[in-house]
Amino acid sequence: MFVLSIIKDTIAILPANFGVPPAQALIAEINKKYANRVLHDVGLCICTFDLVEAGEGKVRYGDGCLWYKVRFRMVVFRPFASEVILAKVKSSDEDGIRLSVGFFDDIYVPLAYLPQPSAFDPNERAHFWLPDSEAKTPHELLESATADRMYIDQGEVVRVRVEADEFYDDEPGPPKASEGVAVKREARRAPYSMICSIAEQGLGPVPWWKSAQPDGDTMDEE
Amino acid sequence: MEVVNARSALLSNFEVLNLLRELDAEHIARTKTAIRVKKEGEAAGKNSHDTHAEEISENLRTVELEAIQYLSADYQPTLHQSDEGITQLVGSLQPFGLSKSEKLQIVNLAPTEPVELYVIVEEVEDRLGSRMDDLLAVMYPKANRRMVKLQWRSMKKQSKRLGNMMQTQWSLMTWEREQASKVTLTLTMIEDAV
Repeated sequence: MFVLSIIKDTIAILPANFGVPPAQALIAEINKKYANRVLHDVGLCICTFDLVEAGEGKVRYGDGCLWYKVRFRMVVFRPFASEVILAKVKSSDEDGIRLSVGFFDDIYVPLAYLPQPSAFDPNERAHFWLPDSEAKTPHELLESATADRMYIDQGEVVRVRVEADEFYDDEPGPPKASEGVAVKREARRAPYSMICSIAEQGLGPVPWWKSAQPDGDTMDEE
Repeated sequence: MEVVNARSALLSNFEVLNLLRELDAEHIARTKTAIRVKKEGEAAGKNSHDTHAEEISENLRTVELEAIQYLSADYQPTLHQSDEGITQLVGSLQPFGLSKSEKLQIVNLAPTEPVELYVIVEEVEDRLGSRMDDLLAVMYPKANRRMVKLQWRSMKKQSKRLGNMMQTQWSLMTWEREQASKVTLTLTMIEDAV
């Protein structure tokens, strides 16, 4: 789920932080710049792992900061393709399910990756799966008995396989103005989103695949 | 800014959890000393100048706390893992010929059921076939458990043969928390007075 990335950058230490040992100050500055941010084609940066090497701090003309050329390793969240992870269901709608791992919310399971046959129940606002069903259309599925349906409720822990991830580089262009009034910008897309699947055996809510206790005799397990 | 290597090494959830916990502990220690220093400064009557206002990055704290919360959740095995346990596990996975990513997933997910193995390992039947049970046994020495179960069953049969009505209570403590494969077994038999 997590990888180490090696990054090279030039970091400035403010004079206020000159009293702190430079390694510590550099790590703090790097975390300030990168933590909880998405790097394009790299992933979601969590925190600095360590410094590999750092040059001498040099003063630039114009400001009093010490600029260091640093090479460091960063802990990045980026599950690889076909990795299996555990996530919680955040919400469901007609297009699919949205999952969350706490620090990252843009995990989607589109309709195509739901176990077949399944449908969306607008009353429960949840998707459900009908195992071993002959029905083909959502209409037929919605007529099935509620007891047979395997619902995927909000807050359930699901096992998913990561199929693909997408990076979207949101570069703000120059502000467009027509007749002196600034035009509203379009809705922002998530810089990093993941598409997952729960279509296979073993994927989906964890309780679905927990085997029942093998023994029928009285047995207490603490 | 240049990304030298976007994927130089893979990290297990356990390693990341430990790293974040260390960071968290450092932050808490630092805030405590800062508050203490400030209080002492005020008590001495000095004007607290805020010598080195070390602002802790909000973003870092947010992602740190949320990640710790996710990794320490009940449904994750990460809380019960340890350094030696993981080294031992990876060592015992050696003879099965699994790829690096499959071993990492097994460490992160700690599968207990064969169906989970189907999902993690590709073509598990062709590659492992009958050894799937051995693979699961590596993680939780269920072999011990099965042996104990058989012993218990034979004892029950014996007692039935004797014609006594005995209620046997058998409790097994979860040894997922143990590092070594120690199984603590208590067997209590309650005789029902006829």
